[in-house]
Parts: sequence; structure tokens; C-alpha cells
Amino acid sequence: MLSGFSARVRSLVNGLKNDPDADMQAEFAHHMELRARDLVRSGLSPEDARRQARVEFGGTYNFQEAGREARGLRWFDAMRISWLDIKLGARMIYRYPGLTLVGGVAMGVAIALGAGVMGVIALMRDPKIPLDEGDRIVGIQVWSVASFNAERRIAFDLATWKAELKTVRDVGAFRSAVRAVGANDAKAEPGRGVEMNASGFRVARVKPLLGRYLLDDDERPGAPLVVVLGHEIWSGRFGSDSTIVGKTVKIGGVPHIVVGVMPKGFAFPINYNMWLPLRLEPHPEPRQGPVLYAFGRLAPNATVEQGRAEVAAVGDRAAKQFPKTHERIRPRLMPFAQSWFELDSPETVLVQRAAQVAVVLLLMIICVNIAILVYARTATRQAEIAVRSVLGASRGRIVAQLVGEALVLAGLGAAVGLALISLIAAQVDTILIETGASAVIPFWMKVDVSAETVAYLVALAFLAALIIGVVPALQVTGRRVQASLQRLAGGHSTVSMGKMWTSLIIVEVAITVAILPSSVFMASESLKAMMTGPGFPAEEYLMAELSVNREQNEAGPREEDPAYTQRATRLRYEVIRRLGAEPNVAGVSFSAGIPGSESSTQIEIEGAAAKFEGRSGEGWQTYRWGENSLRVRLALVDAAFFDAFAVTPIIGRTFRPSDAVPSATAAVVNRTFVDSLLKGSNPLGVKFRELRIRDRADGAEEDRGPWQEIVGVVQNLPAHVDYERPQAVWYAVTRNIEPATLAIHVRGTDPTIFATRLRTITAGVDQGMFLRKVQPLDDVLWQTHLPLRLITATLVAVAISVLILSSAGLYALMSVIVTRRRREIGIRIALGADQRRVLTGIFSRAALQIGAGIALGITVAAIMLPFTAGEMKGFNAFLVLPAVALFMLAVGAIAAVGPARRGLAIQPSAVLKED
Amino acid sequence: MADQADLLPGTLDILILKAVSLGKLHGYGVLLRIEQISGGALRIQQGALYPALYRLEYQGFIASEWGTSENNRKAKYYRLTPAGKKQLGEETASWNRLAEAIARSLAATPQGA
Repeated sequence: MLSGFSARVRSLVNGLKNDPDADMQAEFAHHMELRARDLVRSGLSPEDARRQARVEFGGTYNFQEAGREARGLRWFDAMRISWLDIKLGARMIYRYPGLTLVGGVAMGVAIALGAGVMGVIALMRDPKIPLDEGDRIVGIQVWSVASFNAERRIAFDLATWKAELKTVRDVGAFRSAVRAVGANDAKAEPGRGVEMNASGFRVARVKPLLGRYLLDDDERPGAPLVVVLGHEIWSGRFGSDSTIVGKTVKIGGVPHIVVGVMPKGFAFPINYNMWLPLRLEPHPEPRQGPVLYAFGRLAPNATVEQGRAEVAAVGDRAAKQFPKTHERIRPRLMPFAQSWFELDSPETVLVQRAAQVAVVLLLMIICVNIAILVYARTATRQAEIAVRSVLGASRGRIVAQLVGEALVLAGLGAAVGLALISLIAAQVDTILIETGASAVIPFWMKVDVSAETVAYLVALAFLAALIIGVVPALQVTGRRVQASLQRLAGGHSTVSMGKMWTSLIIVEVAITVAILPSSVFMASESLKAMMTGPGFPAEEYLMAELSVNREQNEAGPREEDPAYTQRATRLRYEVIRRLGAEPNVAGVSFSAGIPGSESSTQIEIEGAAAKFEGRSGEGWQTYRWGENSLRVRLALVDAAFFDAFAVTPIIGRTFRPSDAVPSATAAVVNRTFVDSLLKGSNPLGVKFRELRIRDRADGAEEDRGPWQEIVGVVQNLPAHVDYERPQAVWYAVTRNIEPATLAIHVRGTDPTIFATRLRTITAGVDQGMFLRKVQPLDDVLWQTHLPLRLITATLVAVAISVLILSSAGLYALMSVIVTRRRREIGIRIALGADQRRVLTGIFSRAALQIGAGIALGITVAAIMLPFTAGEMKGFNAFLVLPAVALFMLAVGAIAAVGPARRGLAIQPSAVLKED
Repeated sequence: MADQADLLPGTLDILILKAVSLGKLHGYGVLLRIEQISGGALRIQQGALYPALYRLEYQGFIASEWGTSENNRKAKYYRLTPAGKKQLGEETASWNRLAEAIARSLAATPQGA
């Protein structure tokens, strides 16, 4: 039995792989040639012999067909989609413009979303580094099982890896080093610099355009200060000067010798355009020193698995040798691109899988909706299908034809999807460049429509074609084909919307009703937010990120370097003083970030102590704040912040200059803080403190900050967050923030024009200071809220697609009912029944189905409320849900208008004549 | 020609199996071999040979491979597989039983008077 089965499989595979027709023709020709030869030997002339051989052989076409069937290829022949099927599909596109438009656009949206999401996930999970043998470039990351975070102070471990690893060569490290370049003139953005070990260039294997790249010798203490420039800086700042190698330029105000220029596009290891030698302390202490990222290249013939094993073994040895610092950390090796994104956590993987499932599910839902319309369309093609069946077309052949037509429609959807993705990619690219975010996107990630995204798009289009083609085709070509032929003789349509299709229509209505409330509410709130604005004249504010370069004697983390902190604070305040003296400046302040984009932290309120919890497992421990810990946004601002934004307190006061001392405890909170965390009670005098987790060598410990006292409450800032998800914000005053986000209230001139003056002032204070992201605040706020708007727009597009499809589905349902019962309607009217009563009776079942769908949808929407719009301020479920129900009933009524008019126009005499 | 008989339905397969059991053959060779072993008594439509060959290959009773024929042309050669050998034995025994039963029936004479 097994040999028989394998023979069948072999025969099938050969039949599909090779060209069986050509093989058979060759065999037949060989046979006839040999027979003709024998006939010639028996005395016939060659021509007569050939003729007789052909006659004796018989009709080759029939034997070829019989041969294909004997090889088990009949099913394949039946299912093969031919060019004719595609042409028929194109004709259907033209003949049914409504279905084409609705189906094509809806599928296009779903396919674009699916392919986009899958493309982004694939890009993040399996990126390809476009360098020589880029897949052999690896990263080494140290993971703390105590804090479940990466440990980046790896200077000590780096020395060990360089000395001991055999499977990884050219081990090195890097850290960002943003510096002002050149004279720090009024127009200059700083260089995206990196301090990197010279081995990084050996790992990248890219030759310099001019001069040389960094060498190990450049890292030696006391060696001359050198820099390698990127093409972008060389061409933009130095006019592509071919004699630049050997010249001295100021980097962060300090003279450096240019030793080389890299070619265009080189940005290793992430997205840099300037390379400086990485100089570390010669004898670093374990888990001390600067934050670093490590890389290397696998040795020839070494595999990632071997590298992992060796790195793990080195880590185990270090844990035994230095238990105090290394017992709970472990180095791990991974492809370099993955080490940048840290995508390994189970939660991240789960979110990615959920996103993939969600987009495929969305596509399937939309395709099922379209399948309903396609099925209804086949009511007009019953005669064609029945006749084809009688003439010998198998069920598989007819299904293949209908799938071919569906492929054309899905192809149109794919084209729409491709256009959408390309448009969105171009927009995202523009936004990333304008916001400066493109500077932090790794060089191997390009925001464009990659080959992988197109592959996903094509795969989703095929899936769509199968759903909208196969299911209706199987239904229409079922047992009823024979019955159709008989009944067609009487001129009656036989297509009905059986239980499956009516159930699908109910589900379709339910989905529409479930999605609509959240989508419409979010869209309306987003619109209100746009119209409300931030609550202050954002167009009059100029924002800029102000940084101070480190000097050579300033090493270690910034927060642990008092000399740097003091210098940076002094310089920053001098800039502010000079800005304040400008005639066009009405106010200046600085903060840690843009208003509305504060970072998150946790607090406890006095009288309700938070619980510190630890969990442990096999070789790991994790800690968190549990019960009574509250999540808030922390805005670090200077004392003049509220004055600069003309914000007056609702109660209490805002900050005074005297609050800006290290021991100060004054806190200002926003209205949402009081409403959500204090439940509206009097906040003045309430105390709270920040909750942190401090990493220790043998684990972690709780760190409860000093008590803060609420001295005032302000409105939510910016005001439009009221229409999004307002957060509780705690404003804390500080003098030291690096980098600091300056907010300059400009009067009497355009803030963009004032940017030049700002750069001049900054450069005048210190050449080691530089500015980034200098732009008006209204532009910044627009860009910051763009992702939320994009998500809202996507939800609305999906909701509209589903709504249109439901309407079309309801229309199709009513049309099929009228078509199928046309004879009955005609006879009943002929017998004297009232037309309107007849139609009401006929549509009542459809109305029940719509009602069932609405009820189901309302139930699902109510369950989903806590996870969607339910938490948004102003969402009144008792108003919104009934409104949606009435809206869908209205949609159903409108969808019934066309078929009802056709029903009312039925002439009994015409119907009776058809018998 | 008058002495030639048409094949009964289903018998071509067993003849093909018998022909290739005697050695590897291409399609025309199978035809010649059947004529040879039947002494020219069986009439076979030549083209009908090939669907039968493909069917037997699909069932696993014969296997094929491309080679070069005596006239230096590419040709497909068929050989008997172990499963085919077993099938040939079973079909032969079955056919012999049937032929014996029919011959006995045709040779029967009226008994008694």
C-alpha cells in the first residue's frame, strides 16, 4: 500500500513539475517514428509509412487527455485558473462597478493595514544589516535578572570579552556623542556623533572615502584628538572639501584633526555621521562607568549558537569570580540588529503575535462581507453556471473560474492597498525627517515599501481571493445546480440566502455596531482636540533642546558628575538670562520635555503606603510596586515654567524662585491628578512621594523618595489632552536638567525667525553648547499627537469600510429576497393583496435579522467599552449606544428602499406570463 | 488479420505487465513484445497503449526512466516493479482460473438421454 501511495505521489509531482504534455508528445512521436521505420523495411515509401504509422496510432489528443487523467492530473486540470478566467473577472469588474468600488476599497484598506503591520514586525524581528556579511555582526548585551533590564555599564566586561572570546572577533563598544561641529554657527544642527572603538570599522568592512578610519592607537590616552566625518557633514558643513583630511575642526568646541571621511550612506553602528575614538578608564570597576553598547563579528566558521555558548560560559566564570557584582547579571549574544530593540521579552512577542492575528482577522471579516455581495451577484449567473455544468464543466472547473474572477477583484484591492501603503510610508518618512526622529532610526531600517511588505501584500490578496471566491462558488455549484437547470426552464431564480449567509449578515451588522461607537467617539474627540488647541498661543513659542558638551575631564554618568552639572547649569541660566533681555522675548523657561509628553513614574500618597513586591523563579528575580502605588506623569520644570506659559493656578499657587533648591518639597499637580487620584478632595497640603527601584548587585531594593507637598493645582496642559486620555501630572521644580527643553515665548516676530537669534546667543555663551530640534511649539504638538491621530484615522477608515459593506450586504439581502419571491409577490398582488402589506410581510424577516445583529453588536460594544472609549471623558454609553442602534436601523431602511421600489413595481400580469 | 482478436476490456494491463516482466522496454517495444508473445493473435490500438502505461505507473506496478533508444532518440523505458511482479502473478492466476472455468463450461456435453 505504501509503495502504491508513493508511486501516486511521485506521478503527481512529476506531472505538476515537468511538462507532461510535452513528454507524452515526445513518446508518441518516438513510437510513430519506429513504426514508420518498420513499415519502410516492409516495403512502403517513407511518406506512406509515416502516414500509416499515424493512422495506426490514432488521435494523439484523446490519448493525451486520457494520459493526463491516468496520471491523476484531472483535478489539477479542473482547478487550473486560465487566462480566460482572468479576462472574465476583468469583465465582472466593469459590469458591477458598485461591488468593485466597495469591495476594492474595503479590501485595499484591510490589505494595506495587514501588510503594513506584518512588514513592520518582520523588519523589527528579522532585520537585515546591509553590510558585508551583515548577519555575522553580533551584539553582546548584559541582562540583569534582578531588575529584568539590560545592564549597560559594561566597560569592565568589555575588557574580558576582548581578551577571552574566540568565537567573536573585533569586540568593541560605542556610545552616543552628540557634539557641535565647526564654529557652531547660527544655522548648525549638531553632529550625530559616536565614540566608538576602532574595531567597529573592521566589523563594518567599509573603506573610507578619504583618508583613513579610526585606529586602535587613537584610543590611547594622550593621543591627538581625531575625528572621522560622515558624508552628510562633510558635504553639508564643509562643502565636500577634498583637502579636509589633516585639517583641524572644532568638535564640541575642542579642536580635532580630521583623519578621514566615510562614504555616503555609512552610519554604523546605528545612525551616526561623525566618529570619535572611545577612550575609557584603563582599569574600570565592575558595573561602573559610562553606558556602552557592545558589538563584534563572528569568527570565520563560528556560528551564533557557538558564540552564545562561549559568551554564556564567560559570564558564568565572571559570576563565580565577582559574585558581588556579577552574580545576577548574564551576558548574551544575539544578532546586532536584535540587540538594539530588545524584542525578546514574552510580552513583546505576545503583542506582535496578537497584532498579526488581529490584522489577518480584520481582513477575513472584510472578505466575508464581500463574499456575501459576490454570492448575491451570482443570482444573475445561475443560467450560465447550470449550462456550463451540463456541457461537461466539473464543479472544480466552475469554482476555479469564480476564484479567478475573485483574484481579479482581490488584485484590485491589492493595488489599492499598495497605493495606500506607499502614501503612508512617504508621509511617515517626511514626518520622521521633520521631527528629527529619523536620526535615531537605525541605518538598516528604511521607511519604504520593502520587498517583504509587498510579499505580505500579495499573500493577503491571495487569501482574500480564496475567501471571496471559494465559499460563494462552492455554495452556488452545490447539489442545487441540477435543480437550477430544471427550474430555470420555468424562468425562476433559485438562489436563496440560506442560514449560513443570513447568519453572516447578522454578524456583519453586529461587527459594524460594535466598532462604530468607539471609532466615532474617538474621531469626534480627536476633532474637538484639534479645534480646542493647547489652551495657550503655541504658535508664539519656540522650542529647542539645549545641551552642553562634556569636557575631557568629565566622565561617568551625567547625574553623578557634579562638575559637569554645575557647569551646565551655569551656562544654561546664562542663556536664559540673555534671552530674557531680548526685546522680542516675553518669557523663557525650560523643562525636561514638551508639555503633554512627560515621562511616567509611580508615587504613593501619605497614609496609604505602597507595597514593594518581589517575584522569583529559576535563576531570575523581578521586583515591582504593587498595591497603593499610583502611576503619574512627572514633569521636571524650572520655577518660571508656569509664568512662561501664562498658566494661573486653579487653587493654591505655582512655583516661586525659592522652590528651586535641592531640599524643596513644593509640588504642583494638574486637575486630573486631583480628580482621579484624590477623588476631588482638597489637595492643598496633601503629601506624596516618588517610588523607585534601586538595583543592587544581589537583587533590588525599594527606594521611596522624599515627601512632596501639593501647593497648587493647574489646568491640564496642553488643554486638548482633555479630549484624549488625560493623565495625572506632577510638576516638580528643578535647576538641573540635561538636555533641557527651552520654551521661549516670542512676541512681535515669527518664532522661526527668532531661531537664528537663539543660536547666536547660545554660541555666544559657550562654543560647547548646541541646540537641536529648534521649531515652533505648534509644529511640535502637531507631530507629537500625530500617531494618535493616525490611529484614530485608521479606526475610522476601518469602521467606514465595515459600515459600507454592511449596507451593501443588507441591500443584497433585500434584493435577493425580492428577486426570489418575485412570482409570489406578483400572484398575491394579482389576487388583490395590498402591495405595501405584501412587502412588509416579506421584509419583516430581514428586519428581524437586522435587529438581531444590532442587539448582538450593542452587547459586544457594551462589553468592549472598558477597553475602548469607555474611559474617555464625555463618553456617555446610555446616549451613544442607542444612537448607534437607531443609525443602523436607518441604514437598513435605506438599504431596503431600492429593492422595495422594485418590488412595488412588479406587474402581476408580467409575472404570470412568465409561466 | 482474420486471426487477430480484439482485447477484452481490462486485459491490456496484464499483457503490458507480462511484456515488461521480460525486460525493460519503451512503448513501441512493449507493443512489439505483446505481438511477439501472442504470436500476432491480439489486435491492439497502438495509441491506447500509453494511457494504460501511465495508469500502471500511477498505480506503482511499473516505473519509468528516460534513456536513448536504438535510433538514438530520447525514449522512456518501462520496467516492472516488485509490486507489479506481485500483481502480475495474481492477475495471471486469476485469469487462468477464469479461462479454465470457461473452457470447462464450453466443453460440457449433455448428460443422459
